Amino acid sequence: METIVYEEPTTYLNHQHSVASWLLTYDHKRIGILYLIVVTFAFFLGGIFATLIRLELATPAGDLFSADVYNRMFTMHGVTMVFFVLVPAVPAVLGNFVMPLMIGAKDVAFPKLNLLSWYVFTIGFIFTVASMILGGVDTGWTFYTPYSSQGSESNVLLTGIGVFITGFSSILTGVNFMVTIHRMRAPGMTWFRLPLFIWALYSTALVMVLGTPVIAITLLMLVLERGLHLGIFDPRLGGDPVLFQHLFWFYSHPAVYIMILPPMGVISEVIACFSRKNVFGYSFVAFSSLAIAVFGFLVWAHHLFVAGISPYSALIFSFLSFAVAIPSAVKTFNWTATLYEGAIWWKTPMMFAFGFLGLFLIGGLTGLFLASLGLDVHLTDTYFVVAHFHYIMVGGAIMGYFAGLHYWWPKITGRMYNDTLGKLAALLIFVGFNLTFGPQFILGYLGMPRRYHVYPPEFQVLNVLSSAGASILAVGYVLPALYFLYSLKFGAEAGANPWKATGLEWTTQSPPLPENFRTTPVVTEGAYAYSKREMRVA
Amino acid sequence: MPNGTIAAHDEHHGQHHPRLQHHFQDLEQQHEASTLGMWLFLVTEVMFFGGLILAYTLYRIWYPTAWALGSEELNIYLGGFNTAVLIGSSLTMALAVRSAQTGAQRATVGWLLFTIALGLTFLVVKFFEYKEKFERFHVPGPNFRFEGPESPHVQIFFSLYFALTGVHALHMIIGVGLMSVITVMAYRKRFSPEWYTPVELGGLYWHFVDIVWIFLFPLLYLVDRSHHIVSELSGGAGDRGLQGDARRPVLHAHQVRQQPDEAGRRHRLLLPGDHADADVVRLSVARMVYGAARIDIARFDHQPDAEVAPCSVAACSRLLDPPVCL
Ligand SMILES: [Cu+2]
Repeated sequence: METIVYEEPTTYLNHQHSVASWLLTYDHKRIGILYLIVVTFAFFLGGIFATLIRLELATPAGDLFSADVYNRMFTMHGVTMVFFVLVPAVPAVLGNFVMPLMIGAKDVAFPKLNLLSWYVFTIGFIFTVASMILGGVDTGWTFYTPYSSQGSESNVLLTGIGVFITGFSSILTGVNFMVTIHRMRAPGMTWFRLPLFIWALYSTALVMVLGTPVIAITLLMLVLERGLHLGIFDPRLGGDPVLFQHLFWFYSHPAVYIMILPPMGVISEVIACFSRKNVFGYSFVAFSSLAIAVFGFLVWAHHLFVAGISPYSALIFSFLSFAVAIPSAVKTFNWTATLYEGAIWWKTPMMFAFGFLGLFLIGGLTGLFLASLGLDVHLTDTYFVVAHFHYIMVGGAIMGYFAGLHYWWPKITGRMYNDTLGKLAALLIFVGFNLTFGPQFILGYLGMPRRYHVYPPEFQVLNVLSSAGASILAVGYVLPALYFLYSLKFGAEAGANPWKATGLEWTTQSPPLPENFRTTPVVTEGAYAYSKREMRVA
Repeated sequence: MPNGTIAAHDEHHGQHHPRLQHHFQDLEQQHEASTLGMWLFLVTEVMFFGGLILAYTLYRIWYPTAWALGSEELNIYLGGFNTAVLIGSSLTMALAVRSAQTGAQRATVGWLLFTIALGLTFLVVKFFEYKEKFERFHVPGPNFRFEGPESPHVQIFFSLYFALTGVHALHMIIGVGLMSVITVMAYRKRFSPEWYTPVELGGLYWHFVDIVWIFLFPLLYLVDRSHHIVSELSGGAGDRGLQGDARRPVLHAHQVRQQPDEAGRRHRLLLPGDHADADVVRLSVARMVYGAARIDIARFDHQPDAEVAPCSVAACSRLLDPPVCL
């Protein structure tokens, strides 16, 4: 394995310096950095809300907030984390940065559209933050009608408009990514030589293209309904509030796959690199991404089992929800098989990848509990649901995001971070996460409902454990911010390929040239041509 | 991957087409990317309208009467005219693309201007339709007014009418804007048979917006027009024969009589005997439209062997609340 290292000092970071050169850039790498800044800000904003929630729940009494303020806290936590962190984190930050590099392109297909996506995203975020400054929202991130359309006295309009605007960023990114992957691949980069991260991004883009317009129109109807009292979702005027739930979850269930598919792609990259093996069953992993994207559109009504839908449709949706677990299981088994007899290299990205495997497994299996009709009636709107989706969306998606961030950070910045601190962060997050959300499974099973700021005293022990776990988790999340920032100035030079990884993005210098590659690369072999001879790199 | 990096594609950088963006290898790749991008964008548009059409479908199944009543309020002639205008504009658009393809620059400008004119015609007609709805308080919201118990459901119809046609009109406005930019480009002779992507993609967009209207027109304007009595009655005079359900005789306006009460308000509707047992839905529709206090089912024509059907009274009082039949 030979690596081509260019000695030129010119990089995408230093070839222009003005603020305008960042705010008007068409370079996918710089746009990725712009996303990183907004997403990180949103992550810590959402984290503050989460901290306040866990503080309130440390005691059974409502001693920190009134019920109304508490409602606003968990809503703003959910809205910020879902729409401004989880959805854009991996595709818009890491995808933007590495996807054109990985397929050997100079840029995405529509660079101006890419910049526009970022502006649309940021404007939507500003609207949402404005609604929070003006008093926040209290509907829950799901905006269920008729409460959101008439009962709530909070800033539903402004938040709704913010999320509506942000949706278009997702749509444009999806279109851009799909076209890029179809049309911009380097010579020789056939579909089955694509890295699995690209397959995952492609599937994600498909969900963005097909799903996001539906949430956009739904939010538009909600805004109109709230502003004009049309009756579309108001049962007193003949409307159907359950229609809102159908439309909402038609997007928001697949949106879970927008959040989890790209991290799954990251995990494929990391596991292959740090066990020095080709991913076991490459085409199965690739097609399972597509299968998840397609079947993900057929399960939305599992959120409506207690909303009074027909028992026959509930039966079908229950079955389909079980079925969609199969492609996820395919991935998990294949990753495990990839590890088998691999030369495991214990570096920070691999630590996060292992964390992902454990947490995603628990999150996925508890999803099956919720997909079964009888059990779901007991568990709906309890902490069991909260724990389940946090295992998927935080345990899965955020772990995968961190794995990717640690994996590509040397490529993005040209610097190495402190590996020991990185491992410590991975460990803290894994332990803190399980301590925070593990007890919530039990709480939910025992019947503690979500979205209340007070609870019976017998639930206190488990809640205190959960809040304690959250404080560990907080340390785990702040730590990477510190050593990443430190590495920018004091980190060791990374070189083009610090992990001795395969993949086109590692053949160019770190940080990459403004135009990515000096000459268009020509691909002659598959994505994971690791040979056992160079296993012992560490 | 130890991929050889060859410069095969970057060697002949000398004669770039002025329209080739730097991150594409050649015009063909650029054209394919743009076309695929536009098609994918149109897919997102289908999903966008799809959400509204789902709501439309649900409520139409739930409230067929309100849908019929609401649809009656729309001006089928203006709607039909606009349909013709848009189909015509698709033709002129296709001709514009064709002209660009063959390098006929002046013709391209001409056809594009023609397309813009038709698009503007559509919007002007739409404006007058909206204006009429405003004047008649048919715009959903606090000022919405509609006679009869179906009023809230008719409001849902009008909400979806305004949402669907409003979003469509917005697309038309954007389309006219796009066309104007493309026309200026064409006027400045930017296009050639090798590169006319904006005309082609603008055309795709324009045809899509047209096709949305081709769906909206029957969904909104032509709902159940042939199935109920109201068009007859509200037409007042005029003998617009209804096609009706094949199993039932056609009911004509002059066959229906209205009896005013003392104050001169419409009080009773008298239906011909053949229809007395016909259709309870029709009766409720008539009752709602006229706010008639009672609907009498009585025979008033002189068909020698027809009988008043007494059972119809029972049927009626069962289904109308409060019972209004005699
Ligand atoms: Cu779901």
